[in-house]
Amino acid sequence: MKSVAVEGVRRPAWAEVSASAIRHNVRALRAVVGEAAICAVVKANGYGHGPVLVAQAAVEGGAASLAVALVDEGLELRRAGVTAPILLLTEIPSETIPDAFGANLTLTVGSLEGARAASRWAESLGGTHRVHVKVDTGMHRMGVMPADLDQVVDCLRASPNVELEGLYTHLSVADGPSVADRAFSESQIERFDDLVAGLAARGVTPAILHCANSAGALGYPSSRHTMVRVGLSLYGYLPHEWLAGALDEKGQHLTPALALRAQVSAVRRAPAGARPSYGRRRALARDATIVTVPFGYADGYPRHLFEGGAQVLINGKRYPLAGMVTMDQLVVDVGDDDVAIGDDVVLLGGQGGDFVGADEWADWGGTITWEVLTGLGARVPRVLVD
Amino acid sequence: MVTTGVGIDVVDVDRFRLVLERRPRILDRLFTDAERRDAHAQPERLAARFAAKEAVLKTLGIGAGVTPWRSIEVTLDAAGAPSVVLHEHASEIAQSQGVGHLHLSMTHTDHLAAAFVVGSSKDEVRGG
Repeated sequence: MKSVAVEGVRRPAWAEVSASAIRHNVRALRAVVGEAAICAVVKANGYGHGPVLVAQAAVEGGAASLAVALVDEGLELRRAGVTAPILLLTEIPSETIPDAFGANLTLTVGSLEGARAASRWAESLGGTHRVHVKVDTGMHRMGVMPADLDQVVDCLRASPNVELEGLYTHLSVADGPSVADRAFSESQIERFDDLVAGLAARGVTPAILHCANSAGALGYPSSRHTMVRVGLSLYGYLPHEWLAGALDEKGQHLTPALALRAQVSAVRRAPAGARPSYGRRRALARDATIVTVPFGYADGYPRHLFEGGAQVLINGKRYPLAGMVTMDQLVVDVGDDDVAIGDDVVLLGGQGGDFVGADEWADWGGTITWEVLTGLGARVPRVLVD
Repeated sequence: MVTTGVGIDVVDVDRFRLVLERRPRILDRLFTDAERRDAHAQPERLAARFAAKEAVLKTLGIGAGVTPWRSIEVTLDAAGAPSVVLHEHASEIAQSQGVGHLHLSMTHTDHLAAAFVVGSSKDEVRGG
């Protein structure tokens, strides 16, 4: 068998992550959002790409700050030497606040209890600790209800050790192109702006105001405020096609940053009527060459993509799966084409002028691009390219 | 006519003035064109109107952000007496609570603006 092409990788399947694509995407988004700062969202293992290398590339591209969901995700970045501001997007358990403040992570407060805990810990630790308040303008998942905002803000401002640096909210259908979705997003932004104005009238003027996720940043200029939080678009994908307009207008485009590559690990000829893989789901219509690719559902290739019509690229050509995806391997029907062990396979990304995107996987699997990317397995080596 | 609720609010005029200088765009979000005209761009008068809006929210028992600031409007009659006019969502909320009228009084010094609001039920509720 041909040796694995990448140094330090002991399996013939790996993810290539392009730092230049991440940098490029940050620049493209900066061109669109103008004055607003870019906060690169690198939670969930950097959307499957590897958080540290994405964080570094994003900062190089001009991101002013980073965001993660969990304390551990923030600590991992700090251990790797990342010094940019890191915002925790969820309200963390009270007892973990010292770890977060100790690593200079910026806390999200989404409740009065959270505000009290943040103030208490900030005072007992001393120094100044940054907090963003998240307000619920319609997502109804977390965040301070508008009616309670004054009380939460008063609690935080009463503490000399808390810096109320930011106020934000989250849009729940900003990617939706329908009239109803658009009206709802506009109403969320309006409500946020009203809350900002009401606080300002009281002399409370947090430096960082943010509403926009990728869809907001691209589709709703009024949501950009002083900062936008970009997740999916950072990795080169649009939340929805209708959002491409904002990039087109500026002559910009996004570049997917991740490719999944592998090498053929086995080749066999199977007769018409044979039913490859578990479950014997589909019979070959005619004699065909079946090749095995060492990448399975444990690596993040969803099992049911087979039924959705999934294809892979081998030697620049698309081929369908021949049977159910298994835990470590999948099988491909290459017909009568000449494919040998060690030949290059692209599961995600470009080869020979063709391209298989994570959004295409999502269509095959009846899911969303976000789930595809964040579902890539921990045991898939991430290799930084360029 | 029965009282449905009361609300009071004070605003620090100096702080309000500073914010208006630094973020003049909040004027558009807080006040209607008529309110801005009536206040003659004087921060203490604008502050009193903002206090009135907060007092109305308290009278109705709702928080900021439930209805736009501009949906609660302070108007002046020919004699210069203030009253509250509700629009859109604010009007619906008042109606659903059976609030027929909001009585308003405002005052200010150079440093402090205050407003007091009393809500009362519709006239037809009166008597037995």
